[in-house]
Amino acid sequence: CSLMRPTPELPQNLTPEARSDYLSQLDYWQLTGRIGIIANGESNSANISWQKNKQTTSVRIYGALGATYALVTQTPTGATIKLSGDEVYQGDDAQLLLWQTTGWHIPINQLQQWILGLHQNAPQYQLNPQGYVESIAFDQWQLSFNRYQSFYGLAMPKKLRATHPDITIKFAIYDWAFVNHD
Amino acid sequence: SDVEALVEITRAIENYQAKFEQNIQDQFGNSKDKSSGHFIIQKPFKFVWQTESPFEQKIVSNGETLWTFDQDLDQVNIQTLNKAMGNTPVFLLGANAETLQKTFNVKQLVSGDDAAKTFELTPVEQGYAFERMLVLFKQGKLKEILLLDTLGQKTIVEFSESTQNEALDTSVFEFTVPEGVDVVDSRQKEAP
Repeated sequence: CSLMRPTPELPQNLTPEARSDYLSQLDYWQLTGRIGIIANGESNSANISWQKNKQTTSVRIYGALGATYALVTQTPTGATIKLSGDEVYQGDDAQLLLWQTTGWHIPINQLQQWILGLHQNAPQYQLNPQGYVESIAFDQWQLSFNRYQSFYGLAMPKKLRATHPDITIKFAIYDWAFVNHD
Repeated sequence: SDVEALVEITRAIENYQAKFEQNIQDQFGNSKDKSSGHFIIQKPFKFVWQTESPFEQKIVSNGETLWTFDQDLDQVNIQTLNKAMGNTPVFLLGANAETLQKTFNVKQLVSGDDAAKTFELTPVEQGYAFERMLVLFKQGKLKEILLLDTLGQKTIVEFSESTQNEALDTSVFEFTVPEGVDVVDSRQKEAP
């Protein structure tokens, strides 16, 4: 196999509309980055990798020396979460399962649709001067896309902040992948 | 004993600084995560662990207080340094024989090269993130740490360009919180 990860041929210099159309029909994407969670007077930071592969979404939160804190997977038939002590729990909804087992209230279902910098069926949203989503308001959440950066020629979110009365979640994304290598 | 052989090496280390390369591999040997940066320690528990790539995070301890500054997340967490803290390389270099023995079973492995000494540490109690740790010293200098977890995942931390017991500017172990970041100071919550 090729030693270097081939830079995938992705469409370049897309208009915001063409970019949204392209991204929303992707079968596979993965982000890797840092996640910061501030809730009830405590702050945590960890590594996160979030992958959508056709109907399966998996979110892995792991620590500095690689210790997995939580690996939660959502498929059409249900959700599973694996925690660091090798405990495994099943449920219908990944977001609920993550919250019940770790106390982390992360809106996985909504973020899954918008984290690429998309806004379809978002109740309220604003665009930035370049025409990319700047903020989305839903339930009691305020999601703001603070910085975009070019990844393989595609403008993708680099810094996001999701605030809710009881929790602030920050993402600093350092890699976007659009080709499934596994 | 093997613990004493290990402590004989670490006791000789007053301060140490090096570049580090960390590589996490899954059970099939595929690299999952790579990061690099530099590490400084002034015994017993003053240290700086700065990750430079692919993300920026600076962990600083002045022996009392631990600051974790996630530059990318604009976030600083301030805690009291609890001596049995989780930073494995720092704990390994800073701990005395008694503390080491309470935490790990230490075995010195046979090594062909007499300048190299390898120790295998297995946690005494359950609940550690890793199942087995291998530590390699070369000419009395920390060279590599390998952590194996129950799922077969390997974390390899390699140290290079290391210097030891040299004059050190200890102001590096003080941290001033920059402007405009989210700060969470969880020290007051801890009982005095």
